[in-house]
Amino acid sequence: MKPIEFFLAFRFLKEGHSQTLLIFSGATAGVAVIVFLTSLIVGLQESLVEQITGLQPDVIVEPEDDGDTQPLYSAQSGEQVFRRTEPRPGRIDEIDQWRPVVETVGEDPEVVAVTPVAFGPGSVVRGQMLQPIEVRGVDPVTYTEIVDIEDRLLRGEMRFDDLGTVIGYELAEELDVDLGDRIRFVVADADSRTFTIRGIFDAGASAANQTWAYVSLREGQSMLDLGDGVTAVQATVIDLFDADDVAERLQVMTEHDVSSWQDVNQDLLRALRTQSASTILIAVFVSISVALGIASVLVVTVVQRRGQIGVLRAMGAPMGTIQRIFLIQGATVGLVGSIFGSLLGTGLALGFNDFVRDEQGEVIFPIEPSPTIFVLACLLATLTGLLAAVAPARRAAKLDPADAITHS
Amino acid sequence: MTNPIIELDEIRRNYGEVVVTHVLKGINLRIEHGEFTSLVGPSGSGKSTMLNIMGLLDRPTSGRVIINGCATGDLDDHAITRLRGRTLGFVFQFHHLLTGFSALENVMMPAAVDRGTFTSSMRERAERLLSDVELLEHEEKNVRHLSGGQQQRVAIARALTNEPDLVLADEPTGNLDTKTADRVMDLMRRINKETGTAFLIVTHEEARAERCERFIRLVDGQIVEDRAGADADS
Repeated sequence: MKPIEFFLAFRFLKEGHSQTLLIFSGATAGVAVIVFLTSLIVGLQESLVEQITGLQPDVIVEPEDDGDTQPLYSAQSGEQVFRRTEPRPGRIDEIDQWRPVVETVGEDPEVVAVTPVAFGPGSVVRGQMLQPIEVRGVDPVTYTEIVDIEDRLLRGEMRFDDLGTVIGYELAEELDVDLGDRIRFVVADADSRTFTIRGIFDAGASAANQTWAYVSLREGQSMLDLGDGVTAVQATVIDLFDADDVAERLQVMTEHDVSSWQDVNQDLLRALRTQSASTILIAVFVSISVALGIASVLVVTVVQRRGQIGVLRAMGAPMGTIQRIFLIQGATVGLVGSIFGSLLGTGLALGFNDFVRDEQGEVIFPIEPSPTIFVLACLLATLTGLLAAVAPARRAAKLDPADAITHS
Repeated sequence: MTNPIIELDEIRRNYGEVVVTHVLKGINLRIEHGEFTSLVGPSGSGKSTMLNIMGLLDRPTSGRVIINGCATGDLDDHAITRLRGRTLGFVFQFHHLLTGFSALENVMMPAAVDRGTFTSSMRERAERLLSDVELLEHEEKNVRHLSGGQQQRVAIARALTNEPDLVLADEPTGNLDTKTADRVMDLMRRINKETGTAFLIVTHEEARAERCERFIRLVDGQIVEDRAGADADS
């Protein structure tokens, strides 16, 4: 590329006035749509994933399925009759030797936090009624490194001393209780204990707000009759999307059932993938529209400037120079359009954050256009502009100079 | 003995495949360095076709175009373009300046295209040329805002930028009023005398053509007259 080619390309664009404005506007609008839409979808997906993984561990180690949970085969035909059979009712599977498991999980380089938990079904007594709950025995120090329940506390603190409990606000409303009030939990074998409410949280999910009741790990183990055992070991990893790899690795090392948040939320991930695919599809179609717009305006420019192109050829400009003058114009339209488009897209995203809010006036999900999106949009738009200019550039370079000069 | 700038050897140019039109029918011509030549002929006689072939803007159906001793028939597009840019200058009836560019930029353009960029020496030469055509005070003006005569003078200055051996001028005064046309003709003649640049001027105005050193008449694709101009000044 020679400086004269850039000079001529920029001057041709500058001289194009309304035509140039038109293609710049088209490219700007296209990039703005792509930046806004991509930011919106990324924001939505990140918010969804954060909401889900905020309440779930990234990796969970559970007791191995015992014989009761194996498939059942017909004695006559040998065909599988049931995919799996459920364990004996009333019995909670547990990990007896959980300390070595915690140690093994904690040693994985990807794991940043690990905690044992004792979860099981129970009820809270309200007058004559029994309200179903999930008793969640946790170690508040390590557990809060994995599930950010502390950030979701509306009142009180994550403290379990002297038979303390932390419950969801919907359960508290249902029971008409508040901090300091005492409530009685009952488990299947009728072991009942009275706890004092030390904290009330809003997990952002109704099921959790209505049923989760945190107690100390010791109380959980005791109420659920687990002895020293736990129902699972939970962990959080450095990169959320590596969780399935970590789970696979730990499956081998711990010889327990290890699953990742991705295993548990396969439907959601499938939906997110579909959403991402449709975003890409929209970006592709917008790019095609922008490319067609740029190409058509450049074709008109070639026709309008055929005399000048002929004269440039007569002056000694090779075909390559003519071709590059138009390619530079296409790429410039794409690049400049993408810069303005990124700014416009960011403006739209910020506007969305400002104007689209829920009933409480809170941002539904924050959209933060990232520099990566800008860089990708710039590359995509510049490439689109360049490709769009190929046909007009070839057409310009192939003009017969004598014919172009005579018939213009 | 030096080579002629251009030598046309049995040049023929046909158009069409089913119905063949013979536009040039065996042209033989030599243009020497420093000549000031006019080419006249009725409309459709093949003047522009001959000029395009001489300017390497078109290729003959048969025959040879030799420029400064170099046969151009086997040269590729790139070599032809370079040879054209460095040896020949063009002036067209409709000036074909780059509108939106200043007079100075237009004059510098052939050199910038050749070297890939603008340089200060190019600017100096372009200013000298604009001064020669008495347009230095308009150097920064957009050529769109110049009169027809001024535009044609800018086109002449542009044709001289690469110090060509020959300027091919196709009806350079065809679009100008008589007074301006005379001025442009005088200008080309003066440059020819001062710099030794050869000119081949296509015109349909016989009186003006007779003022050139050499007078060539083309009729029906053939040179029918090649003599000294009747009113040529010495």
